[in-house]
Amino acid sequence: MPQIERDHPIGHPAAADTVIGSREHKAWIEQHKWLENARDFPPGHPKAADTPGNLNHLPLVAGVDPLNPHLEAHTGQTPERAAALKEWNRQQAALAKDSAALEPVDANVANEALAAERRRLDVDALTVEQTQEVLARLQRASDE
Amino acid sequence: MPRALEVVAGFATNPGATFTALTASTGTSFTVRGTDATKQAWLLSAWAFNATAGTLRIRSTKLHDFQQGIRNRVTAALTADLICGPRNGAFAQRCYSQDALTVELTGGGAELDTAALLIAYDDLQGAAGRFIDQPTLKKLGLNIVTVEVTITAVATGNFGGAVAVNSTNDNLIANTDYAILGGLTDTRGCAVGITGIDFANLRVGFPCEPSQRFLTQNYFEQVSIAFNAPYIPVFNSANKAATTVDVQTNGAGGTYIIDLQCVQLAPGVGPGMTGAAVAGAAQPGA
Repeated sequence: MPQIERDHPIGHPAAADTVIGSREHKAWIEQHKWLENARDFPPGHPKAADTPGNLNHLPLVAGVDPLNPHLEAHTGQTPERAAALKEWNRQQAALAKDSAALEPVDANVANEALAAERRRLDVDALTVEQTQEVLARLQRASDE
Repeated sequence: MPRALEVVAGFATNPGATFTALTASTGTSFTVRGTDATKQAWLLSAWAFNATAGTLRIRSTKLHDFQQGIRNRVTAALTADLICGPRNGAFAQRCYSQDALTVELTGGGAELDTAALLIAYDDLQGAAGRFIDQPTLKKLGLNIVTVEVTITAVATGNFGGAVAVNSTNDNLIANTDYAILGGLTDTRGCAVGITGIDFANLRVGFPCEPSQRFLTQNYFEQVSIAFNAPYIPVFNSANKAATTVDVQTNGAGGTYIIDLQCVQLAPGVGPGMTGAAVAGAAQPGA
């Protein structure tokens, strides 16, 4: 059985058997209007403006799920959860402390002093208090 | 060279549509630190965290002009770099010793809006931090390790909730240097700050943005590459108890899980440092 292989789809203007202006040719043009910016998407495409039930009317806002606009933007949390978290954060923030403002130091000088202290105490790492003590000593020395 | 890097931040209360000068967060200032006039200071980046869209304006008589200067629109709920572009190529704004930058925000009429500036000093006498560049990282880097901490921020616009880098997992190798490439956050804020002796007790920091993880996870590395200078902070695990992480955010506060992306370094970064590990294999492309 001979293998029949078309050069182009039926109705395509470049197809060998297309009669320009024929019903097949017009149907092909209708189906392919979108290629020439005459349509947004091919007929029947879920995003085409004339496809029934498309979702093109939904606003796309940054961070908002268009199908669930009631959820909090960016986090996707329900209003109840978002409110509970906000309240929790408010309570926790009231207990949190501002960070201390520190006096600038020369890291190389400070590290030498800290290394000497570690050797003296024979430890791998100093505690915060021991570190602050060394830094205070350096500060006093630089003030004198 | 006694290099230093510092993130400074501030907040505006209910700015609305009016440009409102930021109140500097406690312990920070928008006045450029005093340096030798021949040594450079650079504004490397700036970002803001607004619940309502606004504009961040940075001006000074010593910069381009004192009318509008550097002003960029701040998208609501997106803490991302607004100037200089510390990815790929970047151009730093030169700053001047002891120049008081006027930093202003517009934003919401009933909220605390925040912003942060990243300033670098080529030579800040008396305050030298430990920083490396990308080639040094490639040469000395051994293993990636994540330092995870949980921070409860304050709701005042200040940096707060500081915890030590070993507060959650104390898994750093003793007396070993670690480079901080950047970090990740699970919650939006303005800035993540890291403070320690190795950074001259100044706060280095990056945008506290959870949705742009490719931007923050190796932020300092990108800054270093973009500006072609050593801006990757290095700390020693011996200082872990005094190396802290904190967050600056708006009036909502929040609990933040911060994952600092660190690389263990072989010995040889700075004076007095003796790393515990041996040199690893060369990096791809080496």
